[in-house]
Amino acid sequence: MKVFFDTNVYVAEALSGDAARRMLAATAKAAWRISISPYVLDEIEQVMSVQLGFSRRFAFLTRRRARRRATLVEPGSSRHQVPGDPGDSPILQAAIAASVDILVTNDAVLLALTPYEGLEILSMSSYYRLLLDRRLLA
Amino acid sequence: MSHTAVDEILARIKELPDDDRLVLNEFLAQEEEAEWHEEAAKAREQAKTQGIDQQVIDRAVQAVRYGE
Repeated sequence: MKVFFDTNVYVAEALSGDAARRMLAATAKAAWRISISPYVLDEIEQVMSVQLGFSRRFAFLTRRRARRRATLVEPGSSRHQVPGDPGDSPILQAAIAASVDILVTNDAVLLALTPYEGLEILSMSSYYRLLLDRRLLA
Repeated sequence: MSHTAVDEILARIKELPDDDRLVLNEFLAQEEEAEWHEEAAKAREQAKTQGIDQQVIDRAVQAVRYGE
């Protein structure tokens, strides 16, 4: 299984959610491949330091930690566009370029696209339930 | 630490054999991981105080993504 996590999952792991921490750990423990893109890495830093006001050092460490656990995918030009929401297109394009099975996001516009050309787009809570159903979460 | 000292260290790292460089990289990754956990513990307390939950994080991502 291959998974692409949107920015909010990594930020939640760092700042708040026990659920985000557990789902990332369970994904790694299951040896499912995690992909990430430079776009998400940049967003992690911007959201944590610029938008939420945490230290640049912590934002940088979180970026590096996300990168260490994932395979980097750098999508080139792509026909895949999110209708009416171009800001989400880089996330969709990276997930498609990485050929992942699941994109985990809480973005409502992306969630509305599922299924998208074989890609299942799940909210964090749905992905958490999937891990529970497969007995991958304690 | 002076630039000269840093340059010397970088030069020595470049001369390391591959196996030693892997050991060094692993050590640095473990150091970063430990630092991240220390910072995360403090940040989570701060986030709790400030009421930063999943909804706030989701909105912050949207704000950055759309330049709000």
